[in-house]
Amino acid sequence: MSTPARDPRQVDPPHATTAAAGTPDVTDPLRLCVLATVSLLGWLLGPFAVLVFAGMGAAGYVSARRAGLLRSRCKLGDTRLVIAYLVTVAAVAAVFAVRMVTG
Amino acid sequence: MSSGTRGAGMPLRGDRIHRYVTAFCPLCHEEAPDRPLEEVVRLSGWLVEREGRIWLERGCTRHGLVRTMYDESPQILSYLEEWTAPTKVHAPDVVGNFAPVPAAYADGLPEMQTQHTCILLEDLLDHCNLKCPTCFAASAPALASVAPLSDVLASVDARLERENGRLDVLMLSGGEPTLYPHLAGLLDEVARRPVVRVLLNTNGLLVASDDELLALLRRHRERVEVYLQFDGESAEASAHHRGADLRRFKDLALQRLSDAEVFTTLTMTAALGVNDHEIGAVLDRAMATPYVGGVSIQPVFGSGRSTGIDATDRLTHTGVLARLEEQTDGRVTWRDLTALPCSHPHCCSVGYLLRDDSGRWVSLVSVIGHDRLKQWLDLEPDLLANRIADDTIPQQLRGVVKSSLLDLLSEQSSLSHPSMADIWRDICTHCDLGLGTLATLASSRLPGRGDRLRRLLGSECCG
Repeated sequence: MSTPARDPRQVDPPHATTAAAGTPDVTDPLRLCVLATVSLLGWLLGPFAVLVFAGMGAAGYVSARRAGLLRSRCKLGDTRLVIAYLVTVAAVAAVFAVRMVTG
Repeated sequence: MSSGTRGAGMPLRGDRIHRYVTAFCPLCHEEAPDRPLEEVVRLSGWLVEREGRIWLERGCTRHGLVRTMYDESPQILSYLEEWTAPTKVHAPDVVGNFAPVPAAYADGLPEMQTQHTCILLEDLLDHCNLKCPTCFAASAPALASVAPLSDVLASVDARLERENGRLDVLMLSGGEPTLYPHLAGLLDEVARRPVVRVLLNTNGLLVASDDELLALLRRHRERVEVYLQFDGESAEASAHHRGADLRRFKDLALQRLSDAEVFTTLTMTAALGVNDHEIGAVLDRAMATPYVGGVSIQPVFGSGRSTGIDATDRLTHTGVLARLEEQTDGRVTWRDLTALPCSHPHCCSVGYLLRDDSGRWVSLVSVIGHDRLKQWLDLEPDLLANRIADDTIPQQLRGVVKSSLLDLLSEQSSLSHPSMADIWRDICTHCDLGLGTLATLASSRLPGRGDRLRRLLGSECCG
């Protein structure tokens, strides 16, 4: 359902946003930059990068669950499932990292 | 900011407050235009200057911040605000009616009204021989209601009583008041009452063809003045506002009124992009036509029947004033006018032009000077008090001129008002304006002075 068109006489009050002082009010695409950097590390480091990030993620979620976080914004929802997923990913990465080192 | 880091601070809003006002929400009004007046919510608002214009902004609980254009020129609006004068007492229709505006007006003039009835407007009928696309009264040929003569006279008498036995101006309107079946009887009755001037608003169609009507106006011309609807010289302006090219009727009506020596004011409905470029042309017509004593330029507004206006970009009062200079090649500028001192300065402005002995049109303001005019109007009491000791104008003389000017610069005055003879005489003889002929005739005691002055005003003055 579309929002009805606003009368041109209705205007926004002159509020200041927290970033308003001298900066234009546009979305910062920081997340895309982060994703590109993660992809770069994954490409360069391969399973080592996956092992490190999955390990950090698993540790972070274990810590958060102990602190009371039962649901995550992650698609998996329950933080136990998220931890299981990250541990599995870390384990698979560890296997491939060992293989890469041993030859 | 717990860290103590100094931020950038708040940015500028981009406007400048002109004044705080009480306002109403146009969107709420459009949703329910017939709601009871006591249910109309009064809103906090302000006039702000932004990007070279004055905007009216008000906060509505339903529609948020609502902004409409208030006036085109902040500079001229501020200038007009310099011209205010002591107001006259009025008699409320219901004593003790302190209800807030607008509900207060459901019972006539309330206690908080600030203007006495300087003009009484009587709508005689809603029938008209035109159905103009622009008509604030939404009159039409199909409408047939006519106010009984006795009702009109009762209304006039009631107002006469409230106004302490004197009405300066009675304006007859409608509909088309020349179609009023009792017009002759009404004018005769009004002539027997202490009504100084009668203004007749007309589209001129009947005046252009009806000899009997013209004879009636001629018979009452010492008291009756015609406000002739005149939107400009182009066919486009006439077609836009009146639905057809009526210029030949207007020209004929104007010529017949001038020949009959009936004072006439050209009344122009002006709209942005339609005829706002014809203001100078209407002034030229007025100055070139004997017995055209004035021009009234009225920016169109959205009431009644209209093609609609853009609330964010329209022709306004100060916009009309701003266009004067360019369209008259500098002969008339906004500095030749002042606000009506007795009215709200934003509502109306007035100026008088006189043709001097060399045939050049000059404004009353320019020959007297803004500062001197203000002193006479007591608009700067401190300045005046400081100048009393060294002022060369005797106190009594200043009083005479001041009262004359207050009459002149008030809505009740018209160029052919009987007191105008005294006003012009006072101004011309006391102010040494170099208007020799006018001064001589105005102060003349010769027989026939009235007629001679009429003819002089008919050819030498324009208000």
